[in-house]
Amino acid sequence: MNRPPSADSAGVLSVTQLSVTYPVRRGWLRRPADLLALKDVSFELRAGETLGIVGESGCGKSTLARAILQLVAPSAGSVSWLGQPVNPESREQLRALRAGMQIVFQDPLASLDPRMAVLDIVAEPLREHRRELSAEQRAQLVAAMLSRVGLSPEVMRRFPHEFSGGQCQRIGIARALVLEPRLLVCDEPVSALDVSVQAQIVNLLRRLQREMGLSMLFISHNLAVVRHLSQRVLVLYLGRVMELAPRDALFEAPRHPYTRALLDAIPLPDPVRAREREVNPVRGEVPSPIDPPGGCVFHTRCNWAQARCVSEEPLFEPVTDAHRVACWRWQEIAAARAEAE
Amino acid sequence: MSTLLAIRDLRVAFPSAEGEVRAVDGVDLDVQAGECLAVVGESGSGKSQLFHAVMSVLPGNARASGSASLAGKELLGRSAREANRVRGAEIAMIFQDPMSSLTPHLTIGRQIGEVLEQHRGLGRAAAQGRALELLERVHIGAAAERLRQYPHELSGGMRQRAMIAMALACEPALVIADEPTTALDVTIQAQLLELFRELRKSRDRALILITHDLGTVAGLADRVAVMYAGRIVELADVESAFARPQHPYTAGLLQAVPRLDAAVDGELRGIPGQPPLHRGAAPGCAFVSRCSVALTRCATDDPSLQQASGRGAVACHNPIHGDRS
Repeated sequence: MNRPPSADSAGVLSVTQLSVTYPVRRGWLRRPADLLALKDVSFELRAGETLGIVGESGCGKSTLARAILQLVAPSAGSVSWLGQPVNPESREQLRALRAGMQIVFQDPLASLDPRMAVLDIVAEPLREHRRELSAEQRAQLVAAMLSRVGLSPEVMRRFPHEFSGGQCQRIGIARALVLEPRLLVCDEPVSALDVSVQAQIVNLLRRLQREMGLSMLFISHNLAVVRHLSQRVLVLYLGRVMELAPRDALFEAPRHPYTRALLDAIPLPDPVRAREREVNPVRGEVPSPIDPPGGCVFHTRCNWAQARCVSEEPLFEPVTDAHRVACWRWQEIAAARAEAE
Repeated sequence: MSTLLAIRDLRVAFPSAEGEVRAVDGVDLDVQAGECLAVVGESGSGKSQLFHAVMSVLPGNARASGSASLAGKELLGRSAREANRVRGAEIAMIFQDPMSSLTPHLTIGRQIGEVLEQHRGLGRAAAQGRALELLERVHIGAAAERLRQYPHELSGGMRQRAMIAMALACEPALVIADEPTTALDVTIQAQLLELFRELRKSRDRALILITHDLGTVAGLADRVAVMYAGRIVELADVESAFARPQHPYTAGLLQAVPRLDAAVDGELRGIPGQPPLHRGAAPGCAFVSRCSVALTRCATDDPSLQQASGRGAVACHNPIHGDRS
């Protein structure tokens, strides 16, 4: 169980017990099954805050983004935006919501329409949400936003295929920010980029967030990048929250064995220390979300698992006020670690 | 150590509407028996094309020239049939996406068995027995059952293990792995990195690791070749490359990687500009427009790879000296 934290009036976004299921057909003779892509996820996002969301494939991180943006319907739970519960039936509210939250996708080139010039791509949200603007006013806003993301306004007449991956991602960011949204959802925005360019985009996002007072959900499998951008981090595994913690607590004293496994899995870019480090990667693979393990979903890969972990789903327990973990044995593990060190 | 693979002035060019694209632009490289050499570069560096030329798996419109000899035997310009005989038997390649290099309609056992039957002349039963041993060696659980499964029935991590088992089938002297863990989840990457390290312990074959991931390089490689715009710009043992990079590009790459042990509040130090898609016709160093320490001559005078202090080599008019702090 993942209990909702107390409501915070400064919250931009509040997600309460959110669950999403997808129907899955398993061959024509078998009954369709439900794939529980997300189960009981709760968190608050404050104004100007970045929450990192990490996990491996199938953990539900993209589903979470879609459910918040109301692109998939939750099967249970709710989303509140600026203190108001979102009613997916209200078209007016959805319009306001979609103007206020924008998304940047992983594949920069695929997310831009190849037949549209940069001007039209970046101006598209303005045409939809700010119909009072003239074409000239739109072009002015687009030019200003392009220079803000580090592109010359001269690129407005050019087409996506003329740009590199990093430049396409800048165009995608300009499109997402042209309406000056409150919330930016970044779904693996630097994963497809070269390392030298990835750093530029990470720095750009950090700068824009400060300048525009944006709240950000930063979804990534790369914990080192998440650490650079986030104030808090949410760790997902098979659609469940394993741990939610302030950045430094998560990276210096992770409480969930899965968080620890993710951190240990990152190879050190240092040959001397990489050779000294004892590597003991977590065993096995992520089980099928159609048939997830009972009890704690991580128990099949966890070295600490015992009978209770197999039979009972852990509570989402507070470690401190701001730090929560879903593990029956987190206190024992912390004590054992303290002793070992 | 003896030289296993000797590459001399290797070039790969593709025709294009704007003229010839030089993907690999004159590479000299020796790979020693038993060593692990990492070839690092970003997109457009030519790192994959270089070894696709060595393996004779370039697309039909590519033109390769120069020389690549394996234990004295020339690999370039062979007939398809000769190339096939060497591939798998003497050199094996592991690709980023095992799904595209495994045959979808054959079981794992058949695919590994075929390699053994073709190159080693084993009978069907003997080949299956050997295939089972190979799957166990790469720690595939329930190996006997896996032999009867098709690639789509395996997870991404298992498929990559099966690919590694197939690459090892004929005990080749050289394995080339092209981004072998890039497409996988981080915990599975860590497992495969551990498998590579275990397989490396015997040092009975050379491994060329083509990657953009400096973390993987640090944990596995003995030497590093850094490629940029179709050329090797730095070649060094792994400790020197990380502690004392000499080429400004190598230093820039190392600084751009976000690290878990670095201060978090500063900005990441990226390299300005974009990696070039291919080497342009302009004279001078291909890195000059992104380089923070470029000299006037860098714009006109193309640096060649020169032996530098120690055992490394660097292609730069203004290399970095001393320790990186």
